[in-house]
Amino acid sequence: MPDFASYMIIQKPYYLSVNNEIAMFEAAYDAMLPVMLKGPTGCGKTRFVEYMAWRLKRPIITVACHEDLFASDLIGRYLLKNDETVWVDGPLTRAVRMGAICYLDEIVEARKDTTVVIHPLTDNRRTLPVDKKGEVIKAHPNFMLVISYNPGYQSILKDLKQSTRQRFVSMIFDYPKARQEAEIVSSEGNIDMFTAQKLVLLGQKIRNIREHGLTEGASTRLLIYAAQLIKRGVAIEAACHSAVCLPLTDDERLQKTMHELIEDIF
Amino acid sequence: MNDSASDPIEKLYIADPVIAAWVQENLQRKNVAAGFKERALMADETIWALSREITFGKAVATGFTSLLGKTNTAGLGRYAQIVHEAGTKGPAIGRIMATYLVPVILQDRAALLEQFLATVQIMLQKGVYTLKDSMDVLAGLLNEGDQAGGEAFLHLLRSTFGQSLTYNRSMHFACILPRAVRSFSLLQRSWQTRQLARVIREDLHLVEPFLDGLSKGLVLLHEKALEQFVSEGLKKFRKNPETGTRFLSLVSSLGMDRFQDLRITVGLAELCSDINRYLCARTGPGLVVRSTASLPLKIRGADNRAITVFSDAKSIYLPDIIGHYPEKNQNEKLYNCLTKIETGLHEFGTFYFDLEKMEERYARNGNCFPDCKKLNTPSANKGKKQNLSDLERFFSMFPVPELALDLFTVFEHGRIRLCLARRYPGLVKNARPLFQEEALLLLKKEPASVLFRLYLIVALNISQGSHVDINTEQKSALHKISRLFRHRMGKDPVVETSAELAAEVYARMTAMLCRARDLTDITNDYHSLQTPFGCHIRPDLYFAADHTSENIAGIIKTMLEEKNIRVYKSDIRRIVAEKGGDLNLGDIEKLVLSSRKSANLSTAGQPESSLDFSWLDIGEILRQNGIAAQETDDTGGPAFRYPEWDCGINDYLNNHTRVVEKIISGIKNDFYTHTLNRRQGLVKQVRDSFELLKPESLVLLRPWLEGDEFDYRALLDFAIDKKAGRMPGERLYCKRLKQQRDVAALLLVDLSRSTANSVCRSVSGSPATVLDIEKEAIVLFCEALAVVGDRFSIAGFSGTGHLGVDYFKIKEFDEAMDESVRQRINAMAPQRNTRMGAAIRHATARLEKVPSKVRLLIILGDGFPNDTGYKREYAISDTRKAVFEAHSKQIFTHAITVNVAHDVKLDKLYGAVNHNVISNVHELPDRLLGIYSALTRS
Repeated sequence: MPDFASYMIIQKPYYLSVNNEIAMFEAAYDAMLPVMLKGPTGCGKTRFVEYMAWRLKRPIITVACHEDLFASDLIGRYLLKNDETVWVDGPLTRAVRMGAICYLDEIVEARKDTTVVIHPLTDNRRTLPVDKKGEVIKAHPNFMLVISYNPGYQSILKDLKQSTRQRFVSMIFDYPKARQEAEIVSSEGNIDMFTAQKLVLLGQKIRNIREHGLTEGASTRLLIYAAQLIKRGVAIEAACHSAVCLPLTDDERLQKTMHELIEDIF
Repeated sequence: MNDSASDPIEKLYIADPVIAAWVQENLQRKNVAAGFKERALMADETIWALSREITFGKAVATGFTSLLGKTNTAGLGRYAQIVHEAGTKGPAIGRIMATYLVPVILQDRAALLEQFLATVQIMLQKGVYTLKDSMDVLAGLLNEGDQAGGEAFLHLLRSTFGQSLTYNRSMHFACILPRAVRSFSLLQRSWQTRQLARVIREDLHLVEPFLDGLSKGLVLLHEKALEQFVSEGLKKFRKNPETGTRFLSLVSSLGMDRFQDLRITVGLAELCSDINRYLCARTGPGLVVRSTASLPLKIRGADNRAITVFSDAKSIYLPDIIGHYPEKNQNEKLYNCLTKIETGLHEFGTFYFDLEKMEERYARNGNCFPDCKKLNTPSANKGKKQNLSDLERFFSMFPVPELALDLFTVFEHGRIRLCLARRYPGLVKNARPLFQEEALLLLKKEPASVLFRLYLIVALNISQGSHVDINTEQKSALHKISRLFRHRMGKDPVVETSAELAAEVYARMTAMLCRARDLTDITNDYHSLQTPFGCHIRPDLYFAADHTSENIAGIIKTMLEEKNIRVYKSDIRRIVAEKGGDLNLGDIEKLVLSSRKSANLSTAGQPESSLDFSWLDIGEILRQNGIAAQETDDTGGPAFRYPEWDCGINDYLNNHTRVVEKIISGIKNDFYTHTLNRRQGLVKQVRDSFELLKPESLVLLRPWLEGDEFDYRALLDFAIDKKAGRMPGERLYCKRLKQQRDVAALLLVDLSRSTANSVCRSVSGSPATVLDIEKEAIVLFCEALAVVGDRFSIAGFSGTGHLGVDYFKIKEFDEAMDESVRQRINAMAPQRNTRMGAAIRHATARLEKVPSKVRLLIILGDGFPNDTGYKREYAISDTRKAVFEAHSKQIFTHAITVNVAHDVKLDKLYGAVNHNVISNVHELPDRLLGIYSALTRS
């Protein structure tokens, strides 16, 4: 079996369960059902899948979807090697054969015609037709398809088609509750709990002004970045400014409000 | 003579029974115990006045009725004498005097009365017509307690009408001066009026320029700064009238620069949006800042000059101008700090005080408040005052509720300080020095009470200076209370702890205050606590603004209690306030479960599994309290509710507008075809230019991993790489992809009455209306978009009032451009008003459903929005908000305003780059398409 070990996650990824998502995912895995994770950017969707791969002891193949992603990028293609044409499996085919978890991150970014190739894999057939080889691959019993997307995208164009949506067990992710988020920031950013709580408070307050012009609120990931900068000796205000405020918006008025919040909280 | 003699009012019955009955009834209603002499005076004077003229008699009777019981006999005598004298000159003058002398007499100040009489004397020389508006405004000022403003206004009137004036000029000043003085803010009115008087004394022609200058910003100058600015302006005027006039009206850059130099004050309006954004971050949506001047005198307090800060459930009230410090940035900082500290009350639950929680504390602690026996049975008092909130009821249990409130303020401000220090140390670090400095200044100004010293220690954490000039006993008592505060707050920093401390310290404080002032009882002689910057807790205001949540929480609590389920009312209130109309059974269930988990509540209800709240009709409770009004539509088309932005309260009015979709009824005519024929040349030109907007049908992509054919350049590279022994690239193909233009546009046309205004057709010279030209543009628009293939929709809007906004569907997105659509365009006709915000919101909602990459809302109007209760600043800010909302939904909004000159307010309305003004409506058909193609060019 190709590359099995290289896709395994050896070290336990840090993940703090916030609800019943672990049990839900395990049940879906057991029932061989595909899973869709919805949630805002930086709330821990990818980390959750990595954690589950480690927990279920399955390899994980992640594909970051983009608008130039073609079906052949997922399934595979013939390549020239020493005057011969050699078939090389794409990440999806590889996952189907080895029984890995295939994680299609930000699926809505992929072209609509590309996402259709996953349809036969996500119903009771669990097969992957490879047209170029004239082969239909039966998925390994341990194969699992996980997709993620961010419903925060306002554009209807970035929405998933119903025919795709209705093939997945869905799980909603959001920013964790304050105490849990502080634990995550403290652990991932390797900083003390007190500073982590302050960062989380800042994140929460910034999320309150989302409607004032921010496309999305401050993600847990940004708070962790700030924590990591603080850990490396960057002054708290500068760290928050660079890691949290500036990535969120270019609007000066919003920057001013966020700056005031930083001043007040720290 | 005594009261047993026949009532003098009886005489009045003979003269005019109606007036006599009215007087009698009023005196009884007001419960005025007027003596015989006073009543006789009133009757005699009224009868005399009636004999002169009936309206004069009525005015005299009304004047006396207002004065009786409020002024002494001498005051009444003076009133009678002055009115009598005036009446002898004529009933009109008598009537004016009888009416407007009342508030002056009520002030009981001889100097003011003299000024009033002198002013009236001077104005009468110009004519009675000068008096009405001025005296109305004077009465208004005096009635709201602005005596200084009243005196300054009288001085202004004397300065103006004492000069030689023509009839027209007198009329003009009699009209603009009262209006200007009334528009000045209460806190600045007296000295702004004085400066206006100075300007008038210099030259009457300076009045308008100076008023212009005030409206442009001079109102923001502090007293001395304005005085200096006026002095400089007048000096310039003496040298060169033109320069001086421009200086005072802030037209010249010299004037503007000097204004900026002198300006130290900051207006709330300037900082309002920044502060509100900050508030939203701290507490979530719902809380905004407002000016204290927007409140009636009774609520904001009598002291017009001092800064005061307080809140209700929806707003934090701040002074509309602050010039406390000599630097502008310091004043800005003060605004921010005051808001941030006051927000603490909302964030840390001051107003979620719960008497039931207190009751449980008493039950747990036993009889630990021997000095306030009433408090041992708070529940006994509960039912007596149904209209009071828990906090107010708590204070009303004390002999001096004001002292209880002040003690509560001391401990609550202390608690908020501790909570803020934990959560926002930076805030406390910045704000505390301001409060401490101000408190120490207050301490120096006048001998401070023990209570104020306690405030310094507990609320502001100032120990230095707070003990100066007090005896050892007081010092030790303050220390003990301070220790007790720290101990209690360390254990349980909730609002009930502050109340508990207030109750515990109440008796001790009363004794100390009595001893300090050598009194046995302070019940009738209590001076309220003075806090730095007048930060006060106002439970009365809070609950007046939040009585709906209070009522709903009360009803739900009672219903739950009937089922033996115990939940704190404050917790229900909190959830009602958070959820508003979205409150559902799930929220109540969650609340009950979390309350049961809490150790404080006994679980003397049902087991957890048996929770069933289906009997609780939340919707009905909300409806009864006016939260979720039922929607009925009787006009045929579907109705939609949208919020409206109220700039006055800086908040949305939920479901305030009702938009009804209508189909425009068809009038058969051939406008569309006629326009196509008449504009044949332009139509062809438009079609040609829009043809260019269409994307190339196929685009060639290379080099590609797979495709229709080889890319020969890539193949060449491949062969070379292979020959050279390098790993060749794999992108060898080229492919053709179909490219699509994905634009959806909605043209929203203002069909207000003003579009019926006539304009001459530039070409033919034949008369046409603004709407006719707009319709021509629409015809061309339809033709052009049909060529380019964009999805588009056309709608018109008009209506009257917030519940009657009409949205006329002319063409739907998916509707073909057929005869019925053409007939609807033909039938478009001027309707009523323009409530633009609601129409934009509805158009946005429709456009939002269109799955196109680019969504464009084009608003075609002929001026500013205008409807009943929807004018000027209000209408502009709501429209702007609606445009923002569309933008946040990734709908690009572009407005085209026709038939008006460019107005900077249009930038405010739509944003500087999001609109075009086409002053000459004839250019519209051409320009509309130019704008559209520029907006959608790829």
